[in-house]
Amino acid sequence: MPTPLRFAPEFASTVERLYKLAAAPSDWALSVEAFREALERSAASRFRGAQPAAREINAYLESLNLSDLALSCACGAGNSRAWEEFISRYRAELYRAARAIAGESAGRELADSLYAELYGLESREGRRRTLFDYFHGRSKLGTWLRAILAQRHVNELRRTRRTDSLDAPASDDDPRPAIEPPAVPDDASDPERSRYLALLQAVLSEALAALEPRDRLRLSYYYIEDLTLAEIGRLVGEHEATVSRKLDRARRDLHHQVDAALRVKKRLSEAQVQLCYEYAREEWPFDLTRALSKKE
Amino acid sequence: MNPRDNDREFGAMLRRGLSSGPAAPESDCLDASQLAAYYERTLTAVEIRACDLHVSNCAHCRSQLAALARAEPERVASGSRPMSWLWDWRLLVPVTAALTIFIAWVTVRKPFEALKTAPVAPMVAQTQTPAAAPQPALPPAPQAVEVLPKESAQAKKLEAPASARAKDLDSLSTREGRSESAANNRLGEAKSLAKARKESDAEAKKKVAAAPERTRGDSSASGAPGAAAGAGAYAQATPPTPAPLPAAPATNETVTVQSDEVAGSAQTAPPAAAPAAPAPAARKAATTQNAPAARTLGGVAGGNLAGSAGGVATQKSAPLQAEAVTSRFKQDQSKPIVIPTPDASIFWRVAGSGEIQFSRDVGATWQPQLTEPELRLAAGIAPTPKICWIVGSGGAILRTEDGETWQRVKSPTPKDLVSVVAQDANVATITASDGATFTTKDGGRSWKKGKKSR
Repeated sequence: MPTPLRFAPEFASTVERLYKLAAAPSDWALSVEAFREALERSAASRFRGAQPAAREINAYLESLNLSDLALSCACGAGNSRAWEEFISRYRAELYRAARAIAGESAGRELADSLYAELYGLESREGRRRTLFDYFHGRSKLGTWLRAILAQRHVNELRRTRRTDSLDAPASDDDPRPAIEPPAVPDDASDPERSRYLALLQAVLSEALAALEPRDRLRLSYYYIEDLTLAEIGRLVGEHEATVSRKLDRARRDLHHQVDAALRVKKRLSEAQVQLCYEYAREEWPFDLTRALSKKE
Repeated sequence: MNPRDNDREFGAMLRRGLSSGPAAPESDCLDASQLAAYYERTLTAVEIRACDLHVSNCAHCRSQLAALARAEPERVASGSRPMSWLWDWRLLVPVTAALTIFIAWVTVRKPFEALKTAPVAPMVAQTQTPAAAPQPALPPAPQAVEVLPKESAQAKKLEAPASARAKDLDSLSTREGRSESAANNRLGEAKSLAKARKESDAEAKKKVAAAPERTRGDSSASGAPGAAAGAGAYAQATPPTPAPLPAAPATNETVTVQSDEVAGSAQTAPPAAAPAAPAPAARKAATTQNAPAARTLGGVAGGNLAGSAGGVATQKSAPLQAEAVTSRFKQDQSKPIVIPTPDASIFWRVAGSGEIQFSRDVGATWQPQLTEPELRLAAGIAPTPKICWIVGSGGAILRTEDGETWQRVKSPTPKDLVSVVAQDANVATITASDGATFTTKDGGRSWKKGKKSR
């Protein structure tokens, strides 16, 4: 948790106004002071040690989801009424999202563990530690909860696979072999085979590295994460038709770039270029999809 | 190599290549608060760019964000902008085009409907106007007759000029195959009768049309403008006899043609049918070269033709018709109703006394079959030489299936009936004075009410 940013006294009126805007019910017993501390934590998280101008801080504070921040503050303080409100609003959605992310059984376990951390079973310096302290109001509380579930799930996957790889380094799940050079078949009739594959790999990596971040992002979501166009659209803030069009364009551009690089830079003939694709199809040097999944 | 396969392989290579990118320092990884704010895009632009750069190179943070995206509640996942697709401009184009086509269709359709109904109305009005005339002795052969308007202003407005009508009849008479002298005599008789009648009934402004005589097997007399629709109208030659005849439209919105005036005669000729032809096309079609055929047109087939060609018109003229027939009920019960059959020599008629008579010799002699003095019989139709339907006041429906014995058919309405259309002994449609129509397909055991004519 970042060190709280202490607001100057001139922010008192702003804090008061935002507190009223948050409209926390009185039975949540949320004090202005507690709300100010939540705002300070949020600002500290956003600016991360920088020295923002008062105008920037004001603009940032105005953009927050104040009612959700108030609820998280009240829940973090252990207010039972606030917890009732939280459970009535988010419990069902939390379990549904957990099942969608991790599956039926693992999802429930995931949601249960999150509940425990939200409630705050640990305490430090006489203050109960709760995950709510990390909610800064930059998004809706529900989205933040789903983001935590997603993080927990991916972290768990990574941890499990790392453990597995240590236990069985030679297994198929071992990421190490994935980045090793390919084993050229003994009966390879073309002595240039490995050279063609290396050339294709180099050219493709170069073209991918030159992609615009958002193009690379769309391609990655599509080819690696196997998301639908609609899901990609939500992630990159575009309509799915736009995503489809841009994906198609990026793929065609990449193809042309790779073709051109093989012919011009690597001075391969049309037949040799076709051989590159053929060898790659037969025995791509390493399965980088698997390699990626092991990295997670 | 197939370019698509090439792209797929390249995608697989990208999957691997992206995984081997430079790793970002873990010290810069996002905490939960930043992760959530980055996901919600509530960070500042500078922060978002920094996060983009870090996450694009950090598999750890990317995985966390991916897990966060997968945990998104469904209601948001299904669309963060509810109903926003309604405002997508790409949808506006087809919607606007469809609306334009619909409006254009509605706009264009109305004038066509008006065109479809307008020219037909006069014909129907003319065919429906009854006229009172003294009942002459029965002629040996009825001929086409004209119907005259009564008080109806609308009928007067719609009726064709008498001169034009006489001209039409004259031209028709020239096509008749009878001897010239006989034809001239009968035509002259018819014209003089028409003239006398016109003078004597000026108040009603009735018009007399002379029906041409014709030779059997030759061209039939076509209905003059306003000639009877449906069953056709027959002129009875000497002496001229007003002969209100039923029209026989095929639709539920039936039309009765009352042929009150008789002009022209042909003793040996079959009755000249004035085909039901509310529309010019139908009228033209009715001018056939064959008398039986013409009568067929004027009978059942003619009714169908009228119904199909002038269906709209018949609907619109139903009040006129009802009015005309009602007036006939009130004014003139003495005039006989002559009912032709597909057989050129066979006729029925309803005498003014309410007696139903039958003739096998083109009206030379008449045999009484049934007397219903309490009924005012208004219209009849004979789809075959042995089957005849006659309707009248109080919902009276009479029918013979053998040409001799008459039966009272159960009526669906107590109101006066003004017309009947029949295809055979089972299928018939009647029209009441209030415009209501009823159809039976089982010889009158059950009736189905049709659309009510206005």
